[in-house]
Amino acid sequence: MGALEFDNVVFGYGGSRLFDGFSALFPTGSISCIVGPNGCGKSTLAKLAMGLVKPTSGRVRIAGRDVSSLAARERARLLGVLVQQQEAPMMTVRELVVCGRFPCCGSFSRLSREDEERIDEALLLAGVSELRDRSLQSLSGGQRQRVRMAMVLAQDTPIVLFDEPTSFMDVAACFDMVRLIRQVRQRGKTVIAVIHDLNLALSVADQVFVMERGRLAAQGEPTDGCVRAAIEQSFGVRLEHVQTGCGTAWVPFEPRE
Amino acid sequence: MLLVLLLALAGVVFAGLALGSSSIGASDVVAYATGNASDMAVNVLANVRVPRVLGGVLAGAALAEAGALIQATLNNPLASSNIIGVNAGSGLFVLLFACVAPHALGVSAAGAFLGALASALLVFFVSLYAGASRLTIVLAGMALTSIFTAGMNAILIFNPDAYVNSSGFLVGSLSGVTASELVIPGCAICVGLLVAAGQGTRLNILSLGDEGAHALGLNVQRTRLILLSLAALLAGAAVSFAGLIGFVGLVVPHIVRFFAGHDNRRVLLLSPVVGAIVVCVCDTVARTLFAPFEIPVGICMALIGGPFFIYLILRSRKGEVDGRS
Repeated sequence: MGALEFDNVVFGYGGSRLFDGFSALFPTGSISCIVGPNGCGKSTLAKLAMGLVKPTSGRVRIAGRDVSSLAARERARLLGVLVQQQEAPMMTVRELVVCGRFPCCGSFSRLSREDEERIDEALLLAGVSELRDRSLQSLSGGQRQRVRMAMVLAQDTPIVLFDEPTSFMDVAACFDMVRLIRQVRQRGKTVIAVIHDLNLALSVADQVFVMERGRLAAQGEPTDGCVRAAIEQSFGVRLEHVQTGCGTAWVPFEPRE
Repeated sequence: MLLVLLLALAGVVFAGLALGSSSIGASDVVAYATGNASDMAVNVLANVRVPRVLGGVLAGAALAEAGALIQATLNNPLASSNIIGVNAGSGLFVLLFACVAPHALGVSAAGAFLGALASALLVFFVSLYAGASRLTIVLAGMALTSIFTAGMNAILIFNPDAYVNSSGFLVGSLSGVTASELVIPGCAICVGLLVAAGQGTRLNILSLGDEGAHALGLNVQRTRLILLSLAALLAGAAVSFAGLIGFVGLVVPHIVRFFAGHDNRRVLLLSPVVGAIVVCVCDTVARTLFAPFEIPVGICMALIGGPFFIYLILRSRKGEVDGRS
C-alpha cells in the first residue's frame, strides 16, 4: 500500500481527456517529486489527491482509503496540501499557522496544549518563529511561502503534498525550501512535491515521477537512465549531471541540432 | 475592547432613552428604571422610546453582523446586505406579504427572511457560476436592488395602504416601532448573533482561498451557503421592523477591522456592538437634531455610508482595500 495511489484514473476538463487510465503509486516515507512540462497534469494530480476534482472513473487512494469515501476533515487529517501561491490573507504569521489545526480542532473548540505544541514546532521547523507576530503583508514572497509551509506542517498529517513550493522564490530561498523538505521527511512523513525546477526536483527526490501529456512517462530514482531519458523526451532538452567541488547539479541544455 | 464597547453601548442607550422631542429626560429614565416614574414618563418611555432604542440596538447589531458575514464569505470588502440586494429583496417580500396577509402574526418577519434568503441565494449562484470579480458582484447586487426597488414602488403605487409609513420603510426608519413588532425578529436576531459569533474560525479558513480552505477540510460551497443564509436571517429580521436602513453592514465591519484587526473571530464579536452603537447614535441624532421634526435614521446612515462606499471603491481601484486587489 502506497501513501498516495492513482488507480486507472480517467479525468479531463470540459470535453478533452487529460488522464486516460492514469496509474501511479507514491511510496510511503520517501520524497517523491512530480516533474513534467506545463499542461502535463501535475497540478491536476494534486487536485485529484485532495478531492478538489473527482475522477470520471478510477480510484484515488490516500493511505489505502478512497478519497471520495473520506469526510473532508478526515482527508485533511491524512493529507496536508500546500496549494499554489495565492493572495495573502490579512493575518499574522501565527494566525495563519493556527489555521493548520482546523482539521483537528474544528470551528468551536479552543486550542489544546497539544495544538499549541504542534504550532510552535511547525513555526520552528519552518524557521519562522521570530516572524510569528508579523503580518503576512509585511513578508517577502519566500518568507510567506515558509509560513504557508508551517501551516501545512502544523496540520501534522502523515502525508504532505507541496504544489510548486518554490515558485516565485529566489535561488537561496529555493535551497532553503529543499532543506526544509528533507527535514519534513526526516520526521517520518511522506513528501510528494510538484516542482517545476528540474535541478531542485532531482536533487531532493528519492523517487521521480515524470509526466508527459497526462501519462506517467517514467518513475524511478533520479539517477535512473529511464528517468533521465523521459525528462529529455518530455521537456525536449538534454540533461547533464554536473559534478564539481561545490557539489552536484542537474543542468538542462538545449538539444543538439 | 468588548467591555469598553458594551459600556459605550449602555451610555448610548441611556442617551437614546433620555433625549427626544418631549420633555422626558435623564431623571425620568432613572425613575422609570426604579419604578418611580410619572404616568406620562412611563407612557412615553414604555411605548415610544424603549421599543425604538431596542429596535435600533437589534437592527444595528443584526445589519452589522450580516455585513461582516457577507464581506468575509464573499471575500469582498465592498459587499454588505444593502449593496448586494439582500435588504431590497427582503423589503419587496415584506410588502408582498403585507398585501396578501396584512394582519397575520409574524408575516412581516417571514416575508423579510424569505426575500433576504432569495436575494442571498441569487448572489451566491452569481459568484459560484460566473466566477465573478468583487466589483461584478457589487454591480450585480445593484442591479438586483434596482429590480426589487422597482417592485416595491410598483406595489405601493397599486396599493398605497399596503404598509403604514411606507416612505419611512423605504429609506429605513425606527419611527413607530412597537414592542410587539420586535418579539419575533428580536428572537431571530439573538439566535442569529449567537450562531454567527461561532463562525469566525470558518471565515478565517475561507479567507485562505477556495483551494486552501478545501485542503484544510472545509466544505467551501456548503459553508458559503450556510453563512449567507445566516446573514439573510439577520438582515431580513432587521428589515422587517426597521425598513431598508443602508450602509450599516458596509461601514461597521471596516471600523471594527481598523481598530481590532482582521481576525474574523474578533470582527464577528465586536461588529454587532459597534453596529448597535452606530444606529442608536444616528437615530438619536436624527430625531433630536430638528425636533419636533425628525428624519429617518436611514437618511442619516446614507449620508455617512454613501461617501464611505465611494471612498472604498476608489481604494479598491488602487488595490488598497484590505491590502488586496
